[in-house]
Amino acid sequence: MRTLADWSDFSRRAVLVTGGTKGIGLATGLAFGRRGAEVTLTHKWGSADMALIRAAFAEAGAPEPSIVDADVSQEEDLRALLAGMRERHDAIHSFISNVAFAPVVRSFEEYTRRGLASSIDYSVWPIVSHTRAIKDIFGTYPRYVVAMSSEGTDSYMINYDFVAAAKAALEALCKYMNHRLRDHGTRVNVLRTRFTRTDSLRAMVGGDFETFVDKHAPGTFTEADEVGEAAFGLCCGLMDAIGGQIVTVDHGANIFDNFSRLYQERDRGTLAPREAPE
Amino acid sequence: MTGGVRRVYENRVVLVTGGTKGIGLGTALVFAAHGAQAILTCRWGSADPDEVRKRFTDIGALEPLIVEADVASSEDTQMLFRTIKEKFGRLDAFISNASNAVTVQSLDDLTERGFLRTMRASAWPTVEYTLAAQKHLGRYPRYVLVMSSDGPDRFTPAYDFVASSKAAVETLARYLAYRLRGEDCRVNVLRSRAVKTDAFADTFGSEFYDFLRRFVSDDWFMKVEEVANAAFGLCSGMFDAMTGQVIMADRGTGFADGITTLFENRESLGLE
Repeated sequence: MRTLADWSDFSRRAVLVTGGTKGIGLATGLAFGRRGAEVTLTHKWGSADMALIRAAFAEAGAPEPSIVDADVSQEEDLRALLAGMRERHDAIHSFISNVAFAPVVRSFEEYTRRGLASSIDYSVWPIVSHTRAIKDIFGTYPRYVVAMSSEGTDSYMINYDFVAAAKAALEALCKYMNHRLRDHGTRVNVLRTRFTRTDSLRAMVGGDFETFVDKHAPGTFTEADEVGEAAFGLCCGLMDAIGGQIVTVDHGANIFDNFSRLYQERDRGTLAPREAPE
Repeated sequence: MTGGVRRVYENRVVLVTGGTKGIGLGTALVFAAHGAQAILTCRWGSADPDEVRKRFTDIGALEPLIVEADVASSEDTQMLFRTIKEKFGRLDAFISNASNAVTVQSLDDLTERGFLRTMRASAWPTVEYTLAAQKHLGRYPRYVLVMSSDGPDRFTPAYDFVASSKAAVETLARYLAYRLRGEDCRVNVLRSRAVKTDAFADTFGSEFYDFLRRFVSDDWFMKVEEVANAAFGLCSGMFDAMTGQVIMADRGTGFADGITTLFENRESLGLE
């Protein structure tokens, strides 16, 4: 019978993580690298600190990652990325579609058709274009495709309108992709989380958010490493029964991040309103 | 870190209710292959203990402890946990798998007694056992995993009460997740469907299987091992940030379960 040691041996397996030089993407790359995978990380918007990333992989005992500048919305970048990977690998075992980019929306007036379209280009279409291009260039689909998503589709998140709309579309496509690629042996799943301490979250809701949440609703954050571990879990073979699913990894925040919970825990005493000025 | 460690459940204990057959047995075997001492409960005693033990020794795993305990009997629960305390002193993972349900063939079978009996035997044990772990062993298991099905959301023959009890236990799992959030205990639900086990035949009769086989290949049915691996995966350390969640182990087949698929494949199926 196979054991975790077998499931966890990723040596000589190629893994692609888009937006892999920061936050959840980087943590996911490390989770695979730690198990011996040869990880390729893409970045575009983040000015990746290569030395720091390489040091993190070395410290984890992981093979050195390839870090490639590639815009997920650009077909040429994608082709160049995969051509480079093809020189080193015969197949891509796992593809983690992590990049999301959408304009921050502060009011209804800020909705623009173009903004929504660009959200789709950066946050939805890449899972299709990448999976398809992998088939073109390697001859086979990846064994596992994981889309990183978030809970903004079901509950309100600050400035998140277009990200949320894009994630809803992404999640729907993942279910259909899993159905269409099932006969190829490919599993497509969505991994959702709520709040992680990442630059993307700070960019979306502002820098004071973390301190505020930790003070009033401790335990609501999920660490990027924990999401990375779950992403690895979905791709290691143990979870092959899971396909076309939305898996939420957030310490239960999707259930208990609400006023009822704050009320229940009001004895913590942090939520007393400021004294009214005299 | 879980990677590279050979037997992550070495010196650890897993309890699987209804663990002598089907998904329960399959799940216990995966834990045992990782070094776990398995405790299996059964009610009917229909399982041949020697045969069950042999499944474990065949893979070089520890012999399981098999205990006759009805999940619907609080006395049995207390007895079981006293035994666990005495023999092992700990419980690391609890797989709430047993489900003794009253099936419903027609409206006449919808009785209050049947409903309450099913709730008692298929929803309440998850709570009772989790509380008993704390009472007898001084702490909650690190993992509580409830085996469920898609019955609460999708019609399943004869399943009225079973589905109700699954809906109830899934809700209780969310609330337990909240209440145990500070206890290093995570509570999740793994749903599966169309798993070929004895229970499938017992609940639906072999006719249903034969009917389905006209439209789907044998691969469409879930294998016990697939569900068992996923159950173990959720308790392996890789999903430690997950609690209060319900996930489905069906490879996505349920997504395309319906008349649409028959329409799409009507030619190859010879349907008009």
